[in-house]
This record gives sequence, C-alpha cells and structure tokens, in this order.
Amino acid sequence: MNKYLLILLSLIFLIGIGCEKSESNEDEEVLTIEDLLVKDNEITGWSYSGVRWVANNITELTDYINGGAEIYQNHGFKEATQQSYNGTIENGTRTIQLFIYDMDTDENAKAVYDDPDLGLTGATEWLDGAGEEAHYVRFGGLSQKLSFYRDKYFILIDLNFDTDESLNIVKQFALNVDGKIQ
Amino acid sequence: MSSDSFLSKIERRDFLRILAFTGVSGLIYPGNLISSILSNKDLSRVVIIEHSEATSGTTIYPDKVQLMMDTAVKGLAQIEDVGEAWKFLLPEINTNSTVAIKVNCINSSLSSHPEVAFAIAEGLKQMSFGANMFPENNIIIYDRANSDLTSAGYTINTSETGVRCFGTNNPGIGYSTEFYDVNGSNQKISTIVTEMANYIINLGVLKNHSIAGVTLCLKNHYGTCSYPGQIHSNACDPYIAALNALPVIRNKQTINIIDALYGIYSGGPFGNPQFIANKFILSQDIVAADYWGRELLEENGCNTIYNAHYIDTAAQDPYNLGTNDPEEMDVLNILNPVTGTDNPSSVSGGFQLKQNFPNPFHFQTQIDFYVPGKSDVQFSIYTYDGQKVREIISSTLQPGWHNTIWDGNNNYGQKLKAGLYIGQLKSNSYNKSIIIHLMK
Repeated sequence: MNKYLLILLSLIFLIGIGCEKSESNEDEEVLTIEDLLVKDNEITGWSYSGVRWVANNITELTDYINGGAEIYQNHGFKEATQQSYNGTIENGTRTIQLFIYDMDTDENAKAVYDDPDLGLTGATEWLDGAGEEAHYVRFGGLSQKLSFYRDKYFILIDLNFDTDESLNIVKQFALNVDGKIQ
Repeated sequence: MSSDSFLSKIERRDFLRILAFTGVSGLIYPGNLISSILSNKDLSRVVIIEHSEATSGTTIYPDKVQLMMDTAVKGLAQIEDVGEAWKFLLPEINTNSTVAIKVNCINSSLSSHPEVAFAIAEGLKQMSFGANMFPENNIIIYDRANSDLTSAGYTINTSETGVRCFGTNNPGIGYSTEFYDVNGSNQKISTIVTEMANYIINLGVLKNHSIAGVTLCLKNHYGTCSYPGQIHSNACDPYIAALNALPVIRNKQTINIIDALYGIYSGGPFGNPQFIANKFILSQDIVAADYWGRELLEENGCNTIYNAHYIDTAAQDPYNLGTNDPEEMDVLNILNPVTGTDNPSSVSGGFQLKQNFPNPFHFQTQIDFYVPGKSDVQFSIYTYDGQKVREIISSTLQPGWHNTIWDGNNNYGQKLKAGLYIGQLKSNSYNKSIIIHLMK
C-alpha cells in the first residue's frame, strides 16, 4: 500500500513540476501586442488615461479609427492596440496616444512607415533613434507625431503639444516600445 | 494660413458679395432691412467668421467662441438679435421642439469642441416664445458613443435638466428598426434623428481623410447611421450624398457649421491638430459649407482634397443638396468681431475700427479708430453700390486713438437719404469697413 502511495505521490509531484514548467514556457513565449505598450507610469509622470483598445481585424480597427484604417488594411494589417497617457508639460496636462500595429511582416511594417497618407511627409529623420527607421513631425506648437518600425511592428506616437521637452518624452516612449520588441 | 490669403482667394474668385467688417455685433438694424440689401434668395449664404484671439496655442477662449458664434448666426440670418436669428434659421421651432447638435468626436484629439457646441446651445437658449425661453433640455448633443463624447471632453447628461448629451449607444436610444437604403447599403438611423430631433445642427470638424479626402459636415454622420464602414468605398461617393439626402436627415439638417478653430491637413482623420484657423464656416447649404471647408484645407496644404468628390456629387442630381459653385453663393466674411462693450483703450497693436455710435443715427454719429503708427489715413463714406459720397478724413495722423463725426451729409453738405452706408478706414496697410445706418 505504501509503495503505491509513494508512486502516486511521485506521479503527482512530477505532473505538478511538468505543468509548472509548461506554464513558465508559455510566459516566456507568448507576447501579446499589449505587452509592448508602455506601462502605467513606466515613464515617470505618464499614467494611463482613457480606455485601451485592441483591434483584431479591420472591422474593429475601423470602429476605432474610422477611415484611417484603410492605410493599414492596404498593407496587411493583423492587429493593433492603442493606449493614451496623461502627463504634465509646462504646467499643462498633455496626452500621448501610442498606437502599435502588427503588420504581419517586416515588409508591411516598412510599407506603412513610408505611406504618405500617414501625414508624416517631410518628417525629420531620427537617426540612431528607435526602430529600424524613425521620423517625426512637429506641427507648430500644437502637436507632434513620431513613427518607427521594427520587425513586423509599426508604431505611431501622437502628442497634443509641441516643445523640445515634449519631443524628448515622445522619444522616450518610442525607445521604451522598441526595447520591448527587441 | 493667414486670413489675408484666404480673403484674397475669395476675391480672386470674384464672389458676388464679400463683406469684411468689424463691429457686427454692434449693429442694431431690423433684420428685414439688412436682408433687403444684402440677400439674394437665389444664392446660398455662407458665413466665414474668424477671430484671431479665439485660441492661443492649444487653449480655446470660450468668450471669443461665443462672440464668434453669435455674430456668425446673426450674419447668416441677417437678424441682429441672437435668439431671433436662431428662430429664423430653425423655421417653425417652438418650445416643444428638440434640436440635436451632431458633433464629431471619433478623434478625441480633434473633435467638435465642447466650447463650440455649448456656444450653439447658449444661442438656442436665447430664443424666446412669448414669456418662455427655449428649454435647454430640448437640446441634445449627440454622437456615436458615450465614450466618444467623454473622450472629447463632453459630459454625458440624460437627465431632465440642462443640455442633454449622449451617444446613440446610450441605453434606451439605439438605431431604428427600419433600414434605409443608402445607395444599396442598408443602414439603420439613430433614433435621436428618427424619433427625438426636429432639427439637426451639423457641427463638423476640419480634417483631411485618407479615403474620402476631407471630413467636414457632409461626412459627419458616424453615429447617425449604423454601418458607416459599408459606405467608404469609392471615396464614400456617392454614399455620403445618398445618406444626407435621406428625407429623415435632409428635412431636419437645417444648419451646418464647420468648427475650424483647428485643422488637420495630413494624416487624418486621426491625430492631433496641425494648424490653427480660428474660423467657423456656417451655412444652411451643406454643400456650400463643405466647399469652403475643402478650400480652407487646400489653402493649408491638404493633398487629399482631390478625393473629396462626394461634395460635388452632393450638388448634383439626384441629390441636389446644395451648390458647389461659388457663383451661386453669397459669402459673408467677418473678421475679429467685437462686442459693443469693448473698451478701445484696452486694444493695442494694429489698426482698429470701432462700430459707430449711435447706430442707427439721425443727426450725427461718432466713429473711433486706432492708428498704430504715424500713417496716411482716409475715412470715407460709400453707398452700397460703391459710390463714394463723403470723404471725412484724408490726412497724416499720429499714433493713438482718434475719433471723427459724420453728420449724414455728402461732400456738398446735402443730407443723404436714409439707409445703410459703408464707412471705410484705409491706410497703406489697412482697409476695413463698418456698416452705418442713417435714419430719417
């Protein structure tokens, strides 16, 4: 009896170890698009605002960004997520919107990055910045837009303010996401 | 884009009437008198109003926005009283009517601004019906979803007090059970439109759109129709026209206003503002309003306007929603409107021309103006057909505030007949006019 009990306990122990190891592997392997987002206050002073969305198909994306979805549809869109962050710059609350698009392939991500309909035509190149290529546009004191791509991901960051200080914060967001992709 | 370049573009296009004047809110003419001179019933009136101090950076000044809206509505109706002007623009309205203001909040970074929507609501509340004012609870600000509205800075209000504000997705609202044919796409329509509203004020925004070219008033019905994704093919043409031509929308969509305080010229419809225009464009003709919105975007470097052919389609058979021909428009430009209580001494900077006082007048009226630097200045009186009848000032003036008197006489000392005249202040770098009412 004790022999069988010992075997049974051993089996339970081994199964338990196996399950634990399996879960551990899943944690390491499964990286969702939301995992790439900048976390709440991960960049000091910038906390979540609004409601995060995730779009798993073009219909859902259209619900969120209206006609803006077509650019991504044209280049093999797979999924996307968006999160807003509030922080303070020059005594005012400012909002950063971070969009991360899984474009399925590196080529698609690059194609979106180069699409003139994104409104980054004439953008300033950010050399040695985030991603494989990155650039940004400053709209005369009103807003800034920065985009980059790495692997199959295209990232767009939009801030409703425009100063040198705010540009540095946008760049911090970009580097944070880029670090998670690598 | 500066107001100068926008104006010069209008002039190049030889519009039938362009008035750039200040002090509009100081006018106290009976509406029918002004209408008899200014209006042409065959033309679609468009008011383009700009206030250079409506915004500063990302800050919006509600008092200036209110002044702009009130002045523009008075200009559109050609009636001096704000409440009466709104009543004129909303025919047969009464205290049991409901007015829905359709805002565009899908892009929370550049939505129809709450300051503008509430400026409209404030104007509507000034409509009087005997001893009663128009109930503010009969005003509904709506869009697709409550979350869209709150993200854009609105507060949801479904109570029985105050201006109501909610999305079509609010519990108990929803879309119609009936389907409406929009060029082959079956759409349900918000019950706010089908069941609740008697009038719709379309408050669009100034944005480019990667598919449709632009997003203005015609394309401001996310949340009015149930499946907007189905009507985006072929740059939304002719779907947008067909949607706006549905009787349930067309018969109620009475006033169209483009909130052009800020704009997006590239990368839209999403994203943050990219330029400041400090303008509103108003018209009862939705095509004419969108025509000028499209022009304004083009002036600011928008390179997708060629896609916005749905605006032109809306002007044609079988839709006939308005005109896209500037020759068929009566464009009223208003720059930097002022209140009658503005204190001249508080104004500095460039030239200023105040509304004359009193106005109307019989014996004499005073005109105040500011000269920023030593300048050769002329102040003259013209008839409405452009004939110069009196030169009051033609001299070099020192900097500062000046005033002059007009006694209603022409250059020969003869009393002019009663009516409206234009008082024009000119220098090398400045040219502005006011409307002066001479009574018998």
